[in-house]
Amino acid sequence: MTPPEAPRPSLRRELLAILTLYGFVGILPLLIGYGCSGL
Amino acid sequence: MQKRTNSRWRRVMALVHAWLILDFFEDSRRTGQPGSTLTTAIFGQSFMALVLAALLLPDRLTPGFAVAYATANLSLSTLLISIGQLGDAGRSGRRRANAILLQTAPLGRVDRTLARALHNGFAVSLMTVGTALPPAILMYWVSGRQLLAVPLYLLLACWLAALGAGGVAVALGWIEHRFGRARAALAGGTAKALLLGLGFAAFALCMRNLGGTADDLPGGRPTALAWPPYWASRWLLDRAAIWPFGAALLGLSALIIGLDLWLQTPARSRRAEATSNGTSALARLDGSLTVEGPHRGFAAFTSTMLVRSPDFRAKVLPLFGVPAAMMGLWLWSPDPGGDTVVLGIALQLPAIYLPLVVAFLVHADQPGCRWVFATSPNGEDLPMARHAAWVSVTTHLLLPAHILGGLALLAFGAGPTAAAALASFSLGSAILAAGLILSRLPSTPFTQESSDITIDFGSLLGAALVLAAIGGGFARLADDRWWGPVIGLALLFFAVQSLRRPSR
Repeated sequence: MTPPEAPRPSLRRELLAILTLYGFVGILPLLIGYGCSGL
Repeated sequence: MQKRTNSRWRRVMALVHAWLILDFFEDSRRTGQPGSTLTTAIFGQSFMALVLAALLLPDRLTPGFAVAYATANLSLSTLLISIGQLGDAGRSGRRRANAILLQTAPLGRVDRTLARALHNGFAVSLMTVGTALPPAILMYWVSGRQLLAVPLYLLLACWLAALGAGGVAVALGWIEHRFGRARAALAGGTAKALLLGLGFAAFALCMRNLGGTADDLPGGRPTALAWPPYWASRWLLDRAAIWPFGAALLGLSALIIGLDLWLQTPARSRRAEATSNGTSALARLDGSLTVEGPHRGFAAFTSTMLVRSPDFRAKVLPLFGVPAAMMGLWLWSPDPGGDTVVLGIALQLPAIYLPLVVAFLVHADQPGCRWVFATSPNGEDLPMARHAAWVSVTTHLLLPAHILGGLALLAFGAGPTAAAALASFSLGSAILAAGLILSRLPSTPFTQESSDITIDFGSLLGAALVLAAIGGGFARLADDRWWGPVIGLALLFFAVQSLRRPSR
């Protein structure tokens, strides 16, 4: 039932994309935390 | 010995890898789209959690704020994971495929349990860490610069998400065991809508007490004590309360694991499908509005699928959850304004949301179910299918929604004249709007396989404004006047007459 144009699944590529996202959503709170001197 | 351990490990990992491939690529392989829908979902949830975690930060910390902050963020991540688990309509198909895969694979009971634990743990952590990472890092400052709070928060978020997902799986498993697969899928869709609506209302009500204590919450301290994310944040931040709250979390985990093992026992026979052959009042109404033959067949199929399609219920009901919660919050507030204009606009909401419902109406539950119509007489007659869908949507969606709306008006203190006028007018205009929208239905309901739903938001907004203006304007003019119900009923009569007209 797989359509011919279906992409070849690469689990490694998806996990890498998610790790990159973790890095991004991890750095922003660090900046916010250091920026808020009142906390 | 070493060799046997290695081969067992390899077998378990092969199974985990296969399940992960399915998690990531099941949807996109079916539709031929590049990339993975799961990754997109994780991206969306992470950014939502980041925005909420940043917005909830106060200018100045008050004592006890850390517990409230951790509870709010832990609630968000737990609810998101649990709701995601509920809407998984492909779950029953996946379970059946799994049963065949596992029965034919050379795997023992230990291997399977190990693989299941590894896969579920990894999948839940992968999704939870995305939503929990921003609040976890901000916890360092909120908790008064305790570095240990960051990893502990992440651990607790994953633990709670696993509890939420496990609780949902146990509840759905029990319904499946008791009432059959179809009922479990339907209950999952309904519970998703309820959780979305209630979760939205709970966040709206509890957010304003973030600077206070648990006593300020609606329902007071017992509300907080009944909510597991509160146990986790007390365990994390309150040194004096480590033992009782830790024990409560462990007890809940043991309970869920025990129930899950009980439901997994293969000796328990399950009822396959629950069926009923009764003819409901709504089905009889369908019969009186349609012509004997294929026309009635189309209407019966569409009406049945509106109620019985797990996919439709899981996707469409949640659309109504949040607006219903907003209306509920507004009506239950101490001073709802007592303005009939707002009530008139509110009663137009079913018609305003109708284009979204219709967009999901053509989507098929199973691939290839088009043959039902392709092989039947008049099965390809699109105008007839559109008219039958109009009848079904009117009897099974609009009529119940407007009866409930009319009763709600009476319950909230509107006079019987105003309630009759508003309810009949809004039902009449909704039926006419449905006729307009459904005359452009691209194919027979529940037969199109591609899952890409296209919604024209520009015309949707325009129609929403027009409908809201008509509803509000009528409510303003007809407020408790004798001619209100007359006009409302006349419009309803006209709408029903145009609905009765045969499609050709």
